[in-house]
Amino acid sequence: MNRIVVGAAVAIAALSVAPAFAEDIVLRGMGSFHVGGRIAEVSGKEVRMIQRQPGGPMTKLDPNGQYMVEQMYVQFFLPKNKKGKYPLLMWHGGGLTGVTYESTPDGRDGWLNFFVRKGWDVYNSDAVERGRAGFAGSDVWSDAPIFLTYQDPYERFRIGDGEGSWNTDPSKRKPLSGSAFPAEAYENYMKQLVPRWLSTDKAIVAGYLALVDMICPCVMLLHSQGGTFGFQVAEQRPDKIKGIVAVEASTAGNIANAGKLKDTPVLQIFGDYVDQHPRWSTFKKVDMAYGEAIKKAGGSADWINLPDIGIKGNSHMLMQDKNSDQIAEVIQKWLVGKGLSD
Amino acid sequence: MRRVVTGLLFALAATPTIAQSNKEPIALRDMGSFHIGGRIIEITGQPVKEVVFTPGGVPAKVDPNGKYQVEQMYVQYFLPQNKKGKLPLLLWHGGGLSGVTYESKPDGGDGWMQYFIRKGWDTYVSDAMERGRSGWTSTFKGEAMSLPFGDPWERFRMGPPGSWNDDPSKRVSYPGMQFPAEAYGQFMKQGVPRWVTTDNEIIKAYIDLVDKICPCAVLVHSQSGTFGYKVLEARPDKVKALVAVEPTLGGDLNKIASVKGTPIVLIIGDNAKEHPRWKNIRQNSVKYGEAFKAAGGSFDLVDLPDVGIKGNSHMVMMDKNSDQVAELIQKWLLSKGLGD
Repeated sequence: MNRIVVGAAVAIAALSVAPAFAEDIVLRGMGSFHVGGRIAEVSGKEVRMIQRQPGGPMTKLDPNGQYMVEQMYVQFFLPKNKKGKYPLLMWHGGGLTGVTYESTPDGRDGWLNFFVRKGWDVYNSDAVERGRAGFAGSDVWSDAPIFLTYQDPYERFRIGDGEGSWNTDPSKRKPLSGSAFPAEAYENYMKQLVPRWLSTDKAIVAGYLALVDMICPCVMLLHSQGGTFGFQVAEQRPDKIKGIVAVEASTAGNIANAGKLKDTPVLQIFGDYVDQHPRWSTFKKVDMAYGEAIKKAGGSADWINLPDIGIKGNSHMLMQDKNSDQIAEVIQKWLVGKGLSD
Repeated sequence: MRRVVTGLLFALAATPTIAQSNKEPIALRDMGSFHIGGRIIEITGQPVKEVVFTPGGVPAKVDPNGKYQVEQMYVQYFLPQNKKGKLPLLLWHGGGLSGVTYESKPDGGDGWMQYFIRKGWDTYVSDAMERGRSGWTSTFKGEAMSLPFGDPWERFRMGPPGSWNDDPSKRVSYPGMQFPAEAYGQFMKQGVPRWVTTDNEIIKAYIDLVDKICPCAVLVHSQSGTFGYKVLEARPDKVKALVAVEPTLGGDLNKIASVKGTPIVLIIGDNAKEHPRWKNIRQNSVKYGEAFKAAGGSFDLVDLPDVGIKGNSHMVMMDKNSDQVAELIQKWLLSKGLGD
């Protein structure tokens, strides 16, 4: 990789393909599939005239007919030296895709590589509507998606020090003191974003249920919005979910259903600067209450505030922070401790 | 994986299968991904919205004004331990699709991505700008188009003109067709919307990729044939070989002199020569190839049926005999001195 790294360093300072000093990844299989989805019928829509090329002629588009919609994309890596007792499903957060778990924005190995190397059969998905899952047209989903501005996650995901910490000029941005997020790679992180709809939760959950019915029993690793979906799915398939690691879930499941997870060990993890952030401190309280409800029902719910165990500086994007491997180690130890891996 | 496959058969006929791989393991010295290219734009004068991201969640203010990251491209790479390709191999997909084209096939078998990694190529599979994991923004002109469920059946030569039927049992395939008809629904799940106004931005991101990774060999399919030729014309010193699988266009006849140092192989499947749409597309590519050769370049035309490989649809890499076609490509690459 040396040639590539050197070439890249000259071309674009912010983007590197990091040389791997870690051991080789040996797979007995790898691949992908789409799961779930339905055929939607569009009818009664007017035939409209569209321009297919800038400056080109107006041509007819008849939107009526059948469309395949609401399927979900899943990519899998099956290590030869399998140690996880169940498949590990990685679910990303809002406005993102499975890329969350791949190489970090600063070019290091992400959690996907980490857990594959630890011997887990990893299934990394793009939720319905996101990334390689594709999305339905406006004749099927009537609302418009939302897009995040370049600065939005900087303050909302606890990279910058609260409101007003953003500045267009990178040298004038105010990161949280001791932030572990690779600030120099913020642009690469923003390239990972995809649009999201606010009306599609049911379709997203249906896609995840189809995946669970296909692949599980399994263990889930959830992040942010993926936490909500994960807990909702687990409440509906508690016998199939053998462990849940929820990383800054926004939010947990329905507290009235928490008892359904009494036989599923749950680990919830939160990063740094949470209590000082109005939004994240609220999520944290809701998630803690859900964990307490699981315990009250006789279940196992562990809670880790990373700063409390000496892991500091974590943003909401823990798996991309500079200490991402250290957090992955914490998760791996917990999974082994619960008997889910050798 | 047997357990999974069995469970599945009961669940839904349309559910995918994960094929039991009897092939050798894939040993990688590294794998990962990155986004490349793109730019930051500014939107002004729009109202601020309050948005609840999760039902019951905490509302957040979203101000749509400001800067946006747009037009970047996603690339995933797999670097085999036993590297035999002398250059990286870039796999570019066709219109309305993503890099998924080259991954597992709709019938669950290993695709060309796994094939070429096993052959020792450093393989880079991308989603074109706007498609799949590249993301998209509302800044593109025009609207995103989704393909109707039945559209590719005839257009991609799975069945002859007039052969589509909503009822799978009434669909007619070409005789001896290699596309796995039972997995057609699975193929359609791979589709993503496309804009028809974004060619320049797509090409720009591909050039950024080539500038980062190449010298390299580029394998293109369908719509990306156009992009492949345009990028070759922009970076003739960096694209060292072009494998054009059913490209929808050839290159620019006026630019052959500057690109003729790059060997090209053109691969066309079955039933193309007579097809109302494909016969013209094929003819344009063939004409380009003749001019390329006349200028002293190396251009090989392979009509698959003429070399005894029959029944291929437009989605050659998903057909049942995809390995056989990959083998032909591999031999061509070796014959050009690009791999051991």
